[in-house]
Amino acid sequence: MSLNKNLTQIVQNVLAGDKTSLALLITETQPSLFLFCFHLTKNKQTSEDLTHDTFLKAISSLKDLKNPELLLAWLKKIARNLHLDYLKSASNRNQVLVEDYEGLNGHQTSEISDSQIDTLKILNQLDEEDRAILVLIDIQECSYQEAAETLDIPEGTVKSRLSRARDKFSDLYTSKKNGTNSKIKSS
Amino acid sequence: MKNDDFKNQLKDGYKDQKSFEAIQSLKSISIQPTPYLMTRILHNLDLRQQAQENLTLKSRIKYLAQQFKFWPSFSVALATLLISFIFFKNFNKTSEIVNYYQIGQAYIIRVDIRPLPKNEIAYAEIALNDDNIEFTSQKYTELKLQKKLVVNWDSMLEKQYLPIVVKGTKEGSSKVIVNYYDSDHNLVTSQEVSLYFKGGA
Repeated sequence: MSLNKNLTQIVQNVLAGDKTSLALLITETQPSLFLFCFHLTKNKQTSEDLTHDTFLKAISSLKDLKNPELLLAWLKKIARNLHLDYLKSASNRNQVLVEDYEGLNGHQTSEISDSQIDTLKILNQLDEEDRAILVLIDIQECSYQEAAETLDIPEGTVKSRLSRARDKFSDLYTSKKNGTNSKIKSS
Repeated sequence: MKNDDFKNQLKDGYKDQKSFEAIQSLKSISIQPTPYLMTRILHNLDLRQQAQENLTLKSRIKYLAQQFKFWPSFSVALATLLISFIFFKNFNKTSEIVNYYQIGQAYIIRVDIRPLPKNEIAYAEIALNDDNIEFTSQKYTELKLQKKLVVNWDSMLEKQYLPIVVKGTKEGSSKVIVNYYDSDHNLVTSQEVSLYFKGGA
């Protein structure tokens, strides 16, 4: 069953209490949502918790979803907001991020290569807004409309912010590979 | 946005090919959650739904209570009635229960001692005032000659019922009276069980 074609119907069925549709909804959206959560948290276990909490919050407020076609983007928006709430209460997040990537490097090389971890670490040096927009559009191939829904900003802002984020990443990547330190200015 | 035009546009957005390729390489990350994540989500959604249903039930009860204006006064009346009944049962000197039994047959009467003020009681005295009823015991046959038995209350503190084994000898009504005394031999409370014996053994 194609998710996009039947998304409205699936959402309606879930709202009517159909558990099969609920399982289908989760099955179809979980992989992308989980990867998005992983890019947010840099930790597999925390990503699972965040994915779990996102679904719980989303299903209980599913009736508030205005456009079922943007379900995945809406789920990612909830995940991001939950993560931002978590970050506000976390005191040592920067240390956790680096350690978690290194943990993955040592234990799960089949899932993430060393070069990918290096890139993730560079990506992680961008601020949260720039990182989120690169993850959504350049890694997860979301549309501008979907990114706008997730980030809760207009599409025009998505485009301008994307351009800025790409520039920052390129500068940072080049400086890291050349072995020089470069400070990224926040605009 | 997966076509070549998109890739060219994407590449143009980056300042160099290598940074573009680095970002592209992150698409192949295939990290997966545990297979139990979906089960966990569905389970907790079920729990949450059950909790909401319980909450809905409570809300309905509350709504119904609000609809019936007389509900508070009715509740007070009902509570008063119950309290009166409990008070009567616990503190009145007697409480009477009438039961029918066959003459010559041994019966165990279980007197409910749960409502009694157990800490005030030092001992209980079981009295058979009528001549058509007697205590009976296979082990202590001499008990049938007794009209009063004293029960050590220490052994009853953890019990819910006081067991009394009796047998009717003649047709007619009988009473088993249990008097509870404190350590100064003052009567704390009493209970009565009324029986009626009929028929032959």
